[in-house]
Amino acid sequence: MDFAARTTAARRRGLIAAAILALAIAPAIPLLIAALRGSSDYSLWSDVFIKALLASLSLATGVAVVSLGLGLPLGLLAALYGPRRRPILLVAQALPLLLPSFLLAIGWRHLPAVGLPKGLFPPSGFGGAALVMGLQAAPLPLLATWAACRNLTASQIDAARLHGGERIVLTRAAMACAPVAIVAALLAGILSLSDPGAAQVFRCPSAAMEIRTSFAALGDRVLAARQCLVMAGLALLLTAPVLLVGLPHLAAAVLARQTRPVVPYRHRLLGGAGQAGLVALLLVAVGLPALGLCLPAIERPMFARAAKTVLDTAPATLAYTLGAAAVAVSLATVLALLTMHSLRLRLAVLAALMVLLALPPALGAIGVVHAATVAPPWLDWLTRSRLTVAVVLGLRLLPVAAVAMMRAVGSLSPSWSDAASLCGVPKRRFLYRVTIPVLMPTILIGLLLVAVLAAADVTTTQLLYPPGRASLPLAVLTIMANSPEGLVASLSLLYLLGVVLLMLVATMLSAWLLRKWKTS
Amino acid sequence: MNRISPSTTIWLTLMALLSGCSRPETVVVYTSVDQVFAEAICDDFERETGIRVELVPDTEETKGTGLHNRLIEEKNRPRADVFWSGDPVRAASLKADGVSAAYKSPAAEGLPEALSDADGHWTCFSARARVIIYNTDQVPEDRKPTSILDLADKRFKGRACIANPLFGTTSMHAAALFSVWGEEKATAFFQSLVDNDVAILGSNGDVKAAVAAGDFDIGLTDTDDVHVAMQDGKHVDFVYADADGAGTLVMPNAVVLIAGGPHPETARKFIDYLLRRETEEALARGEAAQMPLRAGAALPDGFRFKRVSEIHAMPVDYAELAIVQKKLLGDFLKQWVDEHK
Repeated sequence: MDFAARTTAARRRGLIAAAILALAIAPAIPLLIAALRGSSDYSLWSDVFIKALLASLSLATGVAVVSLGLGLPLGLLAALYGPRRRPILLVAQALPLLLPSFLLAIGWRHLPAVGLPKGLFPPSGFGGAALVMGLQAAPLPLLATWAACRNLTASQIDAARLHGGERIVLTRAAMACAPVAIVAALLAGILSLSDPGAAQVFRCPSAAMEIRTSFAALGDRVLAARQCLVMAGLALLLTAPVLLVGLPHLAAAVLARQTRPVVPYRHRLLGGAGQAGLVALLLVAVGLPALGLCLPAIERPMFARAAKTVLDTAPATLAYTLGAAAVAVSLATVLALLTMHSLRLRLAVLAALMVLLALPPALGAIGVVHAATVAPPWLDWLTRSRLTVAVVLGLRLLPVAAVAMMRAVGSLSPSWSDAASLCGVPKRRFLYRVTIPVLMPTILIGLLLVAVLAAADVTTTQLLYPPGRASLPLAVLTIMANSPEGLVASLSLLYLLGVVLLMLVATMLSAWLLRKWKTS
Repeated sequence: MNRISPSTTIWLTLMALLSGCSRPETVVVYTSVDQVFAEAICDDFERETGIRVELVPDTEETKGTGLHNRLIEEKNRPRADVFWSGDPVRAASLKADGVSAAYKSPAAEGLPEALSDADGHWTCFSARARVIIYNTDQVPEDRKPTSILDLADKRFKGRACIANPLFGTTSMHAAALFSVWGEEKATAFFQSLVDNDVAILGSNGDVKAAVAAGDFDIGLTDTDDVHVAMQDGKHVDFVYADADGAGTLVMPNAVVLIAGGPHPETARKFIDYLLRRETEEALARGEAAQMPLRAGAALPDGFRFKRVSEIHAMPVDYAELAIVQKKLLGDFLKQWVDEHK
């Protein structure tokens, strides 16, 4: 291929990637226009909003610090020393990420009510909220650190070990993995900005609550949109310097390396510490709040009613989650394939994805609500249906799927495509016969990951679901304040078991696919 | 024979799930009544009539106001057929905003006409009342509260809580106080709450939970919340707020026919069903333990609450409260919450 043809192809890839990113931001556009052109009866820069904004930023910082403090060391120990039962422990770490934050927060608040000592639960206000949300978010930097550490070469680790033993290994590996871990922790902080659930349960003021008050109590859509924009802008402004430093590391981390990978070193003390840390994190982040949530189900079981709610909401929940997963993973796969040849394009796409993730979910959802009221009735299938919820959720979770797919595409060996090209195999045939089958385990894991994350969402679903088509978490949220404790506990238990079951299926399926791929 | 590939099967299943299959007769009901209570009545209606109810409940934190604003937003192209409101103030407000249509149901016979809209835009039935919940382990019988003024009493300093008055029945209660007491006394009362470190929680459900857990001694909430807590065996009891003074705020349900809703026929059938004596009796038997408005409606054994006719009710005009509440939400209450939350 000559230079001009390569340039044209690169330009086309850039344009398609830009179109996908534009599609992802499309739901928010009606509200962005309203924010810029509409008028509001209230001042945007009220004292209370500024106070709430500062509180949210402090909370996000707290969440980032707590999650980084726990995630970085545990991720290093897991990657370098291979604690016993590491695979299952690492998979289980994803559990807190897949549960709605309000559920875990309420579990913490219920601990004294089920007879456990008061000292076991975190205090009200900022401290409690930051601790609980930080614990829930810790798996993000943990898994990011683990993945970044796996990208180090065995020779680098061996050299460090020869130079100064385990202390130097840990120090050097921490320095190498820190940028990716910090980006992940910041991401956790940003995500906490748009989540009013846990902050409200712990009576901590937040900008997300102010946005909800503007929309739900004052009915002022324009004010809500402006507050969303301020929040997203501020989050980006504060994280931009770190993203600038961290993104190249993240972009490199999603690439394949044809080097000898790190083999976990058997170290009794550090391996034991890693295992104990992973178990403790899981027990504290999920075990304790789950106990608070589910214990009343043993005293006053109401599983028949809970099962009816599960069955009633199952079709809608499946439609939203599978639809969102299909949208996110399809677009993510295309994005990953488009960016595989260009570091610059990959960096630009990753930066845009981080911006997308920083936008509060309410921005897109309220935008669609607004668009639906002015759209003609024949567009209801797009603006007021289950498809709407699935598409908006899928676009919201595109960044998560895209990072996973970029990692998988990065692991494709360039020599395969070179060989296929030399032998005259058409590109489309290579895509269907080689690329897609190799990517299939990640596609399936991505589908399940996005599906479970979409299932845990309540903000988008609450604003967009068609009448009578609530999802299971939304049903839990709407009934939990006034229902008998036994019913709430039974529902929570079923929800928790469902997520665990899904994770088991995902793990077994991907292991089976990998085995099958390796043997074929 | 051509086989359908697994991926085609998955896509077809997904599209079937997303598009929805053929539907029976339906009615779309928005409700600010707690989902767990409304659902039982809707299930009975479905069984009896074969009409499918598509229910849209509100979350506890944005109770009432969230759906109310959604109905106004959707005014030009409504999705809802019926709004089943937990209080008549939002129903009256919908009339003022041109969202509701008039419908005088024949099933409303026996319900007190004075409580409903004269033009038939909203009709009241079964009621709840505002009560003060207290923790029986922490508040002895001789120190129990009797009036909402006790929230500002020194003996409960830092130990009392209310729900966010921007939402739900607490915002209606605030409007009632401004209407009955006048601006000066009501404003002074809200200031006294601040002086006594009264906590503002997310919802009435949170108030119930916090008092039951012993985080606070007393709180202001609704009869249905207290009933659920007592059913769960929590150490709580209640008093009707201001039963001996200005009166207890009684909050009947109100049902509204939405103008231009997509299913007007099934909407009328649903309204007729809600306003029947049997529904009032079912709501009294249910977990919300709502008080029937019909004097002769049967009450279940061990019913905890009084009949509405036996309560010394606060003298309020619900239509007037709608105007007061709207003004307060954008003005005093927003500022008060902003300053003291």
